[in-house]
Amino acid sequence: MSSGTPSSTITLTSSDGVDVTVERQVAERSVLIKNMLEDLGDSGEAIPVPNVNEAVLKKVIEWCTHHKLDPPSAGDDDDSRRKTTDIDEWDQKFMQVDQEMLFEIILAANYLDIKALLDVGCKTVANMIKGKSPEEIRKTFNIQNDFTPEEEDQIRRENEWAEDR
Amino acid sequence: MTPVGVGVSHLPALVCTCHLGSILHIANSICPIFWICCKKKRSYVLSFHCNFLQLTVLSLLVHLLDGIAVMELEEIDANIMAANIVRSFAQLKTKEARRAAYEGVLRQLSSKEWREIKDISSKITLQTDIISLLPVELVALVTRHLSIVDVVILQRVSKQWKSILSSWDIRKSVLMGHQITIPKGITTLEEQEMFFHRCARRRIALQRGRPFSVATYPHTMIFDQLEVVDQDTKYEITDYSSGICVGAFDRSICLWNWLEGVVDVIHLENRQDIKAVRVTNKIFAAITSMGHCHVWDLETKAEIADIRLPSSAYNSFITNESALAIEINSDLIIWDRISCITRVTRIETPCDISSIRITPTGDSFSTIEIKDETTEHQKITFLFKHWIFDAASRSYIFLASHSLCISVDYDLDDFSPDWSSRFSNRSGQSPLIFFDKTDSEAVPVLIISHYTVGGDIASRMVQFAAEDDYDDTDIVPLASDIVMVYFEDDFPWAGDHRLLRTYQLDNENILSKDTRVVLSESNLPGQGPFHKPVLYGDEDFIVALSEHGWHIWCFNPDIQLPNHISTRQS
Repeated sequence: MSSGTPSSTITLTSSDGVDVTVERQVAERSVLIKNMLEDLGDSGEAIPVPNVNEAVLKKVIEWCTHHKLDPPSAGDDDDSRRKTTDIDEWDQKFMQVDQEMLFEIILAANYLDIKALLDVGCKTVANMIKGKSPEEIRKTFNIQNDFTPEEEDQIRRENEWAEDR
Repeated sequence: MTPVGVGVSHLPALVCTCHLGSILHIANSICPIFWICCKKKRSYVLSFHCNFLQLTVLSLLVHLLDGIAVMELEEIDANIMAANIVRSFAQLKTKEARRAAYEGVLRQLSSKEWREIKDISSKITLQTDIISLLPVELVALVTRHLSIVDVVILQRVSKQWKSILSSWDIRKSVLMGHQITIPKGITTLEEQEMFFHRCARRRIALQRGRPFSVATYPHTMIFDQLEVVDQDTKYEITDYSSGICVGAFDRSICLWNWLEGVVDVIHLENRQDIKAVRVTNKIFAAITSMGHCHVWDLETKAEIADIRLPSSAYNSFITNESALAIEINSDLIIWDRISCITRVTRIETPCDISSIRITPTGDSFSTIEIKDETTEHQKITFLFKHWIFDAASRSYIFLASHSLCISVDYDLDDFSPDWSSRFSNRSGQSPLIFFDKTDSEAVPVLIISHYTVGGDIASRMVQFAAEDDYDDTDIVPLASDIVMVYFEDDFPWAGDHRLLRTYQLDNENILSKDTRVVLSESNLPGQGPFHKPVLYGDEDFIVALSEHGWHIWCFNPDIQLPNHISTRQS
């Protein structure tokens, strides 16, 4: 449908009130924005993105720009879609952000309905967790151990069969 | 509560635009926040009991987080200098530059100040407890990629992690990530708890190669009961599915059931040679040299179909559940138990069919085909096709195709024989595997999982480190992320000691180097007609057929391997 039309631009307004201009094709990686544009038509007015601040929005747009030519992901009902478990190299670099940003990207990808970005974000978090000990996890995410030594020992004993990796 | 207004104006303050959560986190670790007020949209005024140095570092940190901070201080010289530092800092464009400048500022400080600030800043991290903050449905997307061990062990992180990781939603996502189907009847908390623990214990035993029970059933145990005179007789053609093995033996079919401790012997009427056997959790089938395919019900052992084939020279013979597919000269013969109809369709393709999934009524099926492109650096394409039966034309119509491209850096010809044998996979449920035996440097292994849920295909290219001669290596898939490896030459000094190991795929898609020894059975085969054991396996059992007999390792705590096997003729 859009193959013949020249790429137009649209404006998004972040939660902190900053306008960001972006290619329509790039913005349409977001199913939420795509549907909005389809339902409302392109009025030329800025589209508010109330849940995403400027820094995160720019980061998300950076991702969408790099992936704008990717084939659209198949819908959930398509039972033959393929899936690979790797994160590609560019995405890996892209995800080298602080945890706060990573958290915000995941929330934004979920809100804007960008499946592939949500998936990359979740895999990145999973890779930070995989194979680590509880102590390493506390260090990684700066978590306070709020168990008493007795309580922790109790859980350890309950799951003895899984300990000793 | 501190009265509003009093003292606040005398305290140094910071006007910040940035995520409140992160600034509170940082500020609290530097100095207690005295007062926060929200100015306008996402802009906050924070008052502190702190010196200008702490405030400076705090402002820099806010900028590091892509926020903006303006200090509100009394205009004394030191403070103006600090304000200038922060302003210049804010003008730095990249995060790297900001981080470098931040560290530079810390280095400029005198040793006493330095120690103080360093102590503080070492406590500051750009960290967030993502798992505790994300909504549970998003945490489930993360935990889908974790192993069962992770989810069990990490309950110790904190109270919040324990409550998240022990919730059924999260456990369900982990089990589904391991392709474990959750039965419908599980509703109460106790049932969920029990189901998860049982699955987890089984999976961990398998990953670590620690079976709950082990048994060996010598061939003589069966041969004596059957009064077989020639005790050198071998089961040359065998197949395996969920605790049941089928084998062709002296023009009869033997069905070993390790769960019940029974061997059923089925004699074919006209005593034809058997060319191939297959077993699933519902049926078993055999192709004879006369070009017949006999199908039996697994439970009753009654023959339920006798399909006349155009020839016995089949290319692939695949069964799953209650259906089977045989490909002979590009004709695909599909039979299923529900419709009891044999359908033939012509596959116009130069590809090898590596896997077939048939719907119970036989009205549609999916194939995975291999299409290799013969170039120096091989690129292998896997075609996933979906076919549907059209009653009007009485043939299958090709509906949709998805391809999965994998670049493989070596010559396909080198391992093509193994390729096909791995691909004529019994049920299509365990991953398809192929690997190059000729490369002594490293062994690339391609694992393709064809998931039952959603019909997804996933591929993983994994690599073995060069540590041995792999000429006689055998790789058998056990679960979607676990393979079993048999090294012929392991511990050659130990006489006829042989080892099996299980490997799990890790984050980087490398078969885990932390190998676990599954067994070291001194009576596993050495020399003789059985060059090496025939290996089968799944999540519950590892089965090895050797010249001595059947060796079974059971990884399911609910199954007790029988001491004795008795025969039953039908």
